Amino acid sequence: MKFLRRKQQFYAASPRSKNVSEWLAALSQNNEDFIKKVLQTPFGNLTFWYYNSLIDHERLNVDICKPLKSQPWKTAGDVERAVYVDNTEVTSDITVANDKLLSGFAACQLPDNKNEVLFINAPADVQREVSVPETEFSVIGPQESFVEKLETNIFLVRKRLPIEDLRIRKIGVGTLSKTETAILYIDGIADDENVQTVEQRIKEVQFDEVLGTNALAQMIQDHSMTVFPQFVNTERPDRVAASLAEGKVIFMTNGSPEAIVTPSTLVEFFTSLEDYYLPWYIASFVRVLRLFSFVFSVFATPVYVAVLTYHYELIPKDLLATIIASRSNIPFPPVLEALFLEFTIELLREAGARLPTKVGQTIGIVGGIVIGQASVEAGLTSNILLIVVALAALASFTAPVYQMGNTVRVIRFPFIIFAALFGAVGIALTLAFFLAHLIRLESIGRPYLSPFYPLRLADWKDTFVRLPYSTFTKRPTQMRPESKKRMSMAKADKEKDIDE
Amino acid sequence: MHVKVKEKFQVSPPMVFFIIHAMQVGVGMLGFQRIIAKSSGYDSWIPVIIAGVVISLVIRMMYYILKVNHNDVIEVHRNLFGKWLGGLLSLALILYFYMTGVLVLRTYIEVIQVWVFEDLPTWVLTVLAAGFVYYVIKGGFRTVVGLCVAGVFIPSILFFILLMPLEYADFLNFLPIWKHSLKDILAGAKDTTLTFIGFELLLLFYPFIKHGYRSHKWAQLGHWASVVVYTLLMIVTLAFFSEGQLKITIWPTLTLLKIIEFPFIERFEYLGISLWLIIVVPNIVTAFWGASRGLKRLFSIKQRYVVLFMVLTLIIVVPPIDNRQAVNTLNEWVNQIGFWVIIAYIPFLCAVQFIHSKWKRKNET
Amino acid sequence: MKRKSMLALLLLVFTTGCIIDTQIIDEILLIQTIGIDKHDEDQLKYTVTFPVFLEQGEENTLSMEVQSIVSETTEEARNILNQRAQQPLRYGQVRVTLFGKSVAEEGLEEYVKSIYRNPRIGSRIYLSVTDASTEEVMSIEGEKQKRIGLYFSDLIEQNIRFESIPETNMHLFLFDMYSDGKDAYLPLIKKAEKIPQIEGLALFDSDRYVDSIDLNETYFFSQLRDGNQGGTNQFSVKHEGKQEYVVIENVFSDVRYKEKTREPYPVYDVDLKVQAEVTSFTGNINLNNSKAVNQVKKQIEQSIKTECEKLIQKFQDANIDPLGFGEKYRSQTRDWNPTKWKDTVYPNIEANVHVHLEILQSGAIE
Repeated sequence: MKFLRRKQQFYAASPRSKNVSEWLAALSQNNEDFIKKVLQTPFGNLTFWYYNSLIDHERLNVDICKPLKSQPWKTAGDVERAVYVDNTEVTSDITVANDKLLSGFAACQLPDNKNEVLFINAPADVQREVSVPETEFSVIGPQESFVEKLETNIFLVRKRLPIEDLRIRKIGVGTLSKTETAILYIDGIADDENVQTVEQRIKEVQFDEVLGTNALAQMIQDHSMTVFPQFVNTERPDRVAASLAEGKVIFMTNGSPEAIVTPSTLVEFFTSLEDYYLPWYIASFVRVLRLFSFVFSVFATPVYVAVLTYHYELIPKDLLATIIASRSNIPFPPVLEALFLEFTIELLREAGARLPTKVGQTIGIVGGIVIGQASVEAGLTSNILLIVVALAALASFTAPVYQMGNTVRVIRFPFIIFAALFGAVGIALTLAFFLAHLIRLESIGRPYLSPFYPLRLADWKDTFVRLPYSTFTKRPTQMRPESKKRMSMAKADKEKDIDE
Repeated sequence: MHVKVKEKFQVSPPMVFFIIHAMQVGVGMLGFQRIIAKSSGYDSWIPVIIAGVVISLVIRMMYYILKVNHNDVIEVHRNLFGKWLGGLLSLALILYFYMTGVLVLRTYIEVIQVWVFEDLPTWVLTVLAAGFVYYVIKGGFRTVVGLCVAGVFIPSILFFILLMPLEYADFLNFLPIWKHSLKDILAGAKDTTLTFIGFELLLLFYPFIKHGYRSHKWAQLGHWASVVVYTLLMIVTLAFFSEGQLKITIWPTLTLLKIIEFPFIERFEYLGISLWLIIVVPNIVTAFWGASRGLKRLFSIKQRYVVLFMVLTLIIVVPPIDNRQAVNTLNEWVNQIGFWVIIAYIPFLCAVQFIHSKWKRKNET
Repeated sequence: MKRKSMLALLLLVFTTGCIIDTQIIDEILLIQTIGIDKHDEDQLKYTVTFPVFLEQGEENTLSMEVQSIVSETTEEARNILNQRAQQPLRYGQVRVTLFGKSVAEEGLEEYVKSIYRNPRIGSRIYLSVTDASTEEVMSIEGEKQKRIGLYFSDLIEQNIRFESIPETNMHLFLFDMYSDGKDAYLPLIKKAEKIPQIEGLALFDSDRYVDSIDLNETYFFSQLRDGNQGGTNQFSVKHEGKQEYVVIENVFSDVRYKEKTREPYPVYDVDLKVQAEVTSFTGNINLNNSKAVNQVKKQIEQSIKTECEKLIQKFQDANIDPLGFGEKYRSQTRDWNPTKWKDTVYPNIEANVHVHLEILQSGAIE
């Protein structure tokens, strides 16, 4: 891609000597954690070279050194057979050697061979335990989430999908970081075009340091001039497994406890995995609630601003006195009042997010109550607006995917500004603009608004509501799955009479 | 010059339903009742149905023309009338589409100026609309169609709300049925055709539909959906207003909305007018898309530049139309042209095409 | 390029933003009641009420202001009012327009049309005729003065809900007024014991106020017009030789008009079905006794019938048609001629009212 087009100079590795042994010796002089260890055995001396920090020392001693002391060896092949490690390789290529050393191999040099070196795998491993999901917490359902280690994450997914057609492709991304990235998909379900698009785009990334999954997602997304997230990111293996079964393509990188689901649609950002664990009517109720809260959260404050600035006719007569009374002391126009409060709420939210959990909660409550109360009493905001803004903020927390919550926070502001400029017409205009924007958006080349546009009525059963599983006979058409059927309805179709 | 549209940019046949319906339901819906009732009074729902049947036939004719040629009207003109005459006809048609876009935009601004902001200068909304039109058309035909879909779905709630004034309905108004002369009814039908204007754009976007001809039933369905909506609205209006009252009401639909009241909101028309923007926007955008596409096909220039040019002319053309008389005059002009395009030009084109095909077949054998 | 054009657009939006006049709710005065009355021969008295919030430190109090202007036209009156006001006066929250009797007698069309033309004013506002001058009716003393803006709208709304008058608002008035075969009515407000009260209905011939009916007649009028759902009335009946009073409350009523013959003049059968409950009565009528009930029922039916027929006769004498016989006639006539109907046909039609009363229950005690 075009990230580094303007940069003139790339980073390049320092010059290397031709011979492996010389190179190894040079390396140990430059790097203090690159260690040379000589193992004395009854059959001769072996020299080991390795990065001290990348090697599991217990493994080196027990699985490699110990057997070499007792087992007779002569050639590299003998050594390979003697050690209790499967992953070994003999090479004279310095580039390969470099990669091996950096990924936790120890180099073993035999006394009579100066050109070739045997690499034995003994990587050190630091790993967090699989723990409870934090951002996508659910009350019921599995309580495990991804960790920073890619292999563990793949293990978590494979455990849920024990089929050989779950394919994994690995790519190293980043000229410096060489972040190990895995693309997961189910062969025979996922559309080949989607897999290729994702693979192609990841391969084309030219950035030096790829921070993690989310950074990579931003580098390969279709549109960068948008506030809407284009890929769902998830920390739940069950969500990944469910998405794979629908024909989606997943990718994750080593070092990030998250996976990215592609292609994604707008609706998915409002679904939580819990919707599939709860009974369908409750899940549907929650979905409708979330949708309503999204609409409320975006439109509540702008409508307040529009009505109080231009459309006083809309206010019912019983509310009129209340609203005028609450506004009569306030010196600012409704926009400023609203922007002030929205700003305060955003401030509280951001402060709460940056502070440790316990302090954060206190800030939220104390800040909310104290600042809100004080600003009403000081005559800076009306108490009705305070209620509206607080409800809108509360409603924005219902978005089950974190990025969508952020989006909701942001898109409110253009609505407020246009409401202040053109009243209800301004709100409609902004809505039209966002609609056009959403229609134009794509996620890896697939329409973002599906199944509403392009219209796919068959997919509607899992959007505003979640119908019972018995209706999910086919995979969502949005991913263009290669095999469409999910289950056979033959058994379920049999109708039984009463008491039979 | 036979340009085939890539499949990637095409839309599926059911989308034609939304385009046709979205184009027919527009700003005209706010005030069509009074114009028809002027000639056919309480029988005004009959002309709506008559016009519906006539236009259904016109759509059939358009599909005949397009099916034979497998291309848009620019190509049809070239085939039938040659490069120069055909080009001239195409240019006239493009100008007509452009004017419909201008008209819809200006009429909607007029409604806002009367009902919401008396002091809103025309150019402000024109500039905003121009920017919006440019943004949408840049997204290609698929974006335009997407807006049509949104323009049908989102405001559909308004149609149910428009049934609420039936609270004050007096169905005695309709009796006796058909008390006007056939002439009056037909005059009403003529006025009704104007509200259905917009579907002619099919002549230009036909190549953008997958399996073009298969979309015929969807086009008819979209058209009949509009007829149903218009007829229902007409019935509600006639039951709601007395004849004399309707004659002095310029925008009966908005006056209907005015009576609606919820515990938390009064004066629903303010919301209605704003939501109407979502109905009007596809009209404007599709018209300008058609005009720019036509110019692109005619002169082989990049559509990007054509759209930019059109949007800029919009800013120059619209603001000078600054009073009610000017808007009315424009309305009458465009409506007259539209009426003749639908009633005379398309059948004429159809006939010429028919003779042309016969003659060609004879020559071959 | 793209970013620059976006910036330009934003800048434009902000500079244009101040072009539209804002109507910030606490910076405008919201008129709630309008009164239009005759002042002199050709001058109008235009009265408006609007609430004012007085800021007094942290407490703010609501007070009501009433202002009157004398001028030739309502438009001029509005201009003068706006010149006098400290903040712009706005009409979007008007709830009631009161017309003085003298204005109403000369015709309301021009005033109502000017209200109807103004998109700021809703269709559901109440119009009403006052028996005295509007200014007098609108000046109330004491606590009620504070609510003067909503006083009349609450008064009319309450009476509609209580079904003592049929439903009314500007739309219904316009509908009837512009209808060939129907005449309009409005509530009539009178000041009794210093408090404005609903007196009955003002009846119109086209847009001119010609006659009125009191609340008792309004009860029967409502039944005849659209079969009201509620309403209470008192009837005197003879029971065991004594004069007693029975109060009934309508639960359900339905009215049907049937044209029996057309020539020479139309004869209408008016079937009035009423289901009612007895809420109270004087004397000792045993309402569990079906014979006694029947007796009472017959007498009430008879008095409803006479009252209704009297009412219809009254309308015919004044040559007004608030019940809409003309509409019924028109809906079955192909050569409908409004003038002919009004001049020759309507005064000669005959209406026979048939009342079917059903007494449902008589409360919780025997």
